Amino acid sequence: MNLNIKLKGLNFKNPLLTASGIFSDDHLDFYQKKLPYGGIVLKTFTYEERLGNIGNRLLEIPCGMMNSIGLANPGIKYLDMSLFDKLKAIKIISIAINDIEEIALFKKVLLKNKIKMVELNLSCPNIKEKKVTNDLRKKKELFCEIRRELKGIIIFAKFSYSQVNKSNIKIIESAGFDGITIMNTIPGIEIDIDKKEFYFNNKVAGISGSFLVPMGLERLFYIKNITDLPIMACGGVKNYKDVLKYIFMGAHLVQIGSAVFNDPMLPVKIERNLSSYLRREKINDINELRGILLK
Amino acid sequence: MVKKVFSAVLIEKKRVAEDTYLLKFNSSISISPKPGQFFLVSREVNRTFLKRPISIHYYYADHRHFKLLIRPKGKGTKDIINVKFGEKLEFVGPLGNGFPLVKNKKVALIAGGIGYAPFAFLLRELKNHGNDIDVYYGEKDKKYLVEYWRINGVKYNIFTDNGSFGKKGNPIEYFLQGNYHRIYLCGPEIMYKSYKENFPELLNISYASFERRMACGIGACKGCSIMVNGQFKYVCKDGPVFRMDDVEIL
Ligand SMILES: Cc1cc2nc3c(=O)[nH]c(=O)nc-3n(C[C@H](O)[C@H](O)[C@H](O)COP(=O)(O)O)c2cc1C
Ligand code: FES
Repeated sequence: MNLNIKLKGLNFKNPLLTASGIFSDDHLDFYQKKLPYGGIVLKTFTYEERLGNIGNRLLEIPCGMMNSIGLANPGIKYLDMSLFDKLKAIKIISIAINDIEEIALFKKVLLKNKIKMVELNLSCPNIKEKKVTNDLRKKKELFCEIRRELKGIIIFAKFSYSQVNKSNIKIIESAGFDGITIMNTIPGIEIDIDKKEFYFNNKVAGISGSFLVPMGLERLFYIKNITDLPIMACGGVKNYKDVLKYIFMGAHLVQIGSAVFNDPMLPVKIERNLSSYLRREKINDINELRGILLK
Repeated sequence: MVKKVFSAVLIEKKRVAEDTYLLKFNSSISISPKPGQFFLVSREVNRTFLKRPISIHYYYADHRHFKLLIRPKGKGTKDIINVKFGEKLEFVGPLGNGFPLVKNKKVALIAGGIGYAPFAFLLRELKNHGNDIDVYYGEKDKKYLVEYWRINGVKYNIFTDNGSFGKKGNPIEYFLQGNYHRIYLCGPEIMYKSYKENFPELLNISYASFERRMACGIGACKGCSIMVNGQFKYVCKDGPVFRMDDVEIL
């Protein structure tokens, strides 16, 4: 049974990735050297260190959760890949770049660490100063510059639900990016009725969880009607069935996000169940299933 | 020990006080937790979206059996106390740093309410290390008092807010400085706040266990932040136990 996915010269041992913001080297304890992912996407790095948001950062809601982490990260300067040295999985760095001046440092660090693929996070809802831009026209120049500078590195742009429209997809395509990740968390608000306050200090937080799958499938369906760019699907994956659904709808790779918090062994189970599914269906290669519902 | 994902079967469940349950489990793997560490816990089927952090109340040196002491607050903890005999729960852990132990010293433990939970295990370890121990334990009302683990030679001071048992008031009001080498606290953050105001000179020998909502439990998601020495630390990985003079108490 082949679960291998080839994408732009990279070879993923299976279509499973960690979603950004979920995984750290501490997870390796659970897997005892045998990582169940074809690739890992690290938490988003910004130009400068970000301490993260004050106040509440987490809340469980029915079928999911809200987070207001605020891109806590040490800054791209401190990217330390030595923790992942021994991993065979493809290492993807999530980055958020706000300004043309910032690109040089990202370039330097990414090249030094021999990074082959990045995910440009366009869609974190958890930063107060920088609202998610739904109109990417203003970013065109920045994107072209990023593309030019990060020559040789595969770039995917990570969208939120509300960023998916024809104009934005065309901008990503014409900037020369290699693919799209869909999607980031959905902005939402929670209220503490006893304190009569917003639950999150930033008021708006990001919602993730299993109910995102139908939304992700619909957005993927829409995107695939506009572009042939490869897709990393993300949102709500809780079992192998969700992974298959995204693949049927044309995704190359599928990211697993907040469902891993409850069950760190989830990717192990999904990998096993994908193989069983292929065997049951007498399909030799998972790549045969990609986009079968788009034909 | 290295943290793991494992299941454990419920083999005993007792209601030990109003709204308070003592659950004993038999683990499917060998475990070696330290006092003050915790597990993330949920059912195996019909799970809550996130697991809940629950401290290890007691641990048997056979590496298999352990107890949780739970006063349910929300859906996650209610699910846990509603497990039936023979049913399995899923655990991730042991997690966190645990209480730093000392040997042959005079120490105090201050517990507020269900904050007593991690202390049965801690008490045994402190006793095994030859310490001289005073316990200060406060509850709202006598009906909440947990039938604590009486160990010979441990001095218990019990308090209730309404005076229905022990002294009327809370442990902080009655706490005496008594030449302690180390003081361990577990309870609501408001108790730590009053301790901090009343005993600023003891903060550098006082270690308290903190609580936050958690998702990953291993320092990955950055969800359980706490201010320590002006920097964000994470209760699940850097804690849950922090020295009190370092921490900003809410
Ligand atoms: C705690 C947490 C932190 C996250 N941090 C990031 C991040 O740094 N960068 C990013 O692009 N997405 C981040 N995300 C979004 C996830 O990568 C993913 O897009 C989203 O959670 C939807 O997938 P899910 O439903 O499988 O969780 C974060 C999500 C969570 C729950
Ligand atoms: S719960 Fe994820 S960092 Fe603590």
